[in-house]
Amino acid sequence: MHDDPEERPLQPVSAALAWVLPGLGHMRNGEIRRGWMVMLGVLGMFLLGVLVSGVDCVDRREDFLWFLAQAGAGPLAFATDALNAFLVKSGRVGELLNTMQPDGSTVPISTFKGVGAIEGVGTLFTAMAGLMNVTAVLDALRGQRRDG
Amino acid sequence: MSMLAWMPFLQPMPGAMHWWWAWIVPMVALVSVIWKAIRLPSLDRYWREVAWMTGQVLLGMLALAVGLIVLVQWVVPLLPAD
Repeated sequence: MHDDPEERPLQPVSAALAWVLPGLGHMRNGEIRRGWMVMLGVLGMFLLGVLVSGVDCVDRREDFLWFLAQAGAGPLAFATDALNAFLVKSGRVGELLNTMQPDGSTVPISTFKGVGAIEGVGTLFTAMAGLMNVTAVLDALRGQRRDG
Repeated sequence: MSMLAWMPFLQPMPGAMHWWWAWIVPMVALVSVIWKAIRLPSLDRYWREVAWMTGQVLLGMLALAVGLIVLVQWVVPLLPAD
């Protein structure tokens, strides 16, 4: 019987795979359907957040604490941050407008940057996807259940 | 900005700001999809459990919202000003 997690050997490779691609760790453990459901949930939530707010909702430099949570979704979060820096923050798409800061300085901000509640929605979706994937990684680490 | 000019995944979705609160529904549903995939010993009744959890969380949030409205609109004004 492998119901008791204490009796199951830890699966660090599965945990690593679960971080690289959500759901893959469960699939390696033989829990194929669980893997698909985790993948659907994590990738669905992350991509829905980016669809609503744009790649700007993942920003390692400006929103580092949020990024800590978003990074739980794996390399996808780092790729989204890189796309944000390469395309949006550099001005390769959209326009950069100089905006006045409270201290009097001006900072270039992209016209593609989300503002207000809608930016919060994307940030929350992507951060929640990352945090939920952390629980999935820990579950994959515990190995396969008896029922699979 | 028109819908035709929208660049998905790069720009914020046009019009989404007007119903930002409605995004709680897909968020709760997707959290339930992940949570039930991890927690259920067997996936025989998986989608029913996902729907049940989604409904419970949404009803709980609705109850909290109603409670806060009652508190702010009716209870707080009854308190003495000083």
